[in-house]
Amino acid sequence: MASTINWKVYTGSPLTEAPGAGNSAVNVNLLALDIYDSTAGSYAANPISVPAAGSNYSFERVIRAFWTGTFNEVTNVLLWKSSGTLSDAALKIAANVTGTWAPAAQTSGASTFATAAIPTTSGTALNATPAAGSAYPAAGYSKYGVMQLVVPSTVTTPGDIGSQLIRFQWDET
Amino acid sequence: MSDWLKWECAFKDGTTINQFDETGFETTFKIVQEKINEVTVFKLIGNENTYLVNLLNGSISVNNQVIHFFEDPNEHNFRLIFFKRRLVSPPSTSINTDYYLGFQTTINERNQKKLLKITHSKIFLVNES
Repeated sequence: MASTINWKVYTGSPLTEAPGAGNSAVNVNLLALDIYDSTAGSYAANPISVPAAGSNYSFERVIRAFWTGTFNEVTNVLLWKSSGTLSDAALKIAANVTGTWAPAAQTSGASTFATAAIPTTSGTALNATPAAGSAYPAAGYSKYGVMQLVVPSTVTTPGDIGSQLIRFQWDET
Repeated sequence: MSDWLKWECAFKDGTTINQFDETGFETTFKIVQEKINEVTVFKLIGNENTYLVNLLNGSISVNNQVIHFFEDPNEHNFRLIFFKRRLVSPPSTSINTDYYLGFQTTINERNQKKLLKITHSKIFLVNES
């Protein structure tokens, strides 16, 4: 027996989960719109422009893992970026995790929660272990992962930032 | 299917539980956890390989090649460690699984772990203290 995993993306306030039950998100694109990019095409139509001064931001992209299947325990859930070079050194993907996510509204301004750059090693990964430490034996969620693309005025290479490989790891019995 | 090894477990009273019985019925690892202090031998089997931890003498073996860690195993209490480490890259739902099998014992009030990390292509011996 083993777990299976579906990805869920959250938008709006109160939060709306997408896609529906039994389905997994097909992308977690960062874009200038608070929507789940179900076609993987909206991010190109809603880019984050390079500002004349300061920074522009993507909407906070909020995701969770949803485990189903049969398992005893899920622990030690980690989130980090393992590879993928952003197209400009001034770009940043900020990230953080939380057990509860209930903002008054999603923001396209600077996130007050996801401020630090996403870790790039498993040793420094964010801990997304669900609060209970396990979901035995039924379905359950990880913590929320919140990510935001930061585009400062110092960016000189506009365009697609390139694919970034996000890793999500857990221990299971 | 992300799992590629199956387990078999023996207990102090001589009984055994296999993850899958002859009918294909699957037993959850929770049953082992409920009798964790009674476990003597725990095996992982698959891909024509057998990985075994013996909690009576604190040894680990791979295909009957035994690694002993203690000259005086009777002085120690060996506790089973077994879990699967899953790795996935969202939005993919394809899961890679590595297995961790070994034991923990306490020496001079410090825990020591001897573990096999079993991947599809390699086996690593992990020492933690």
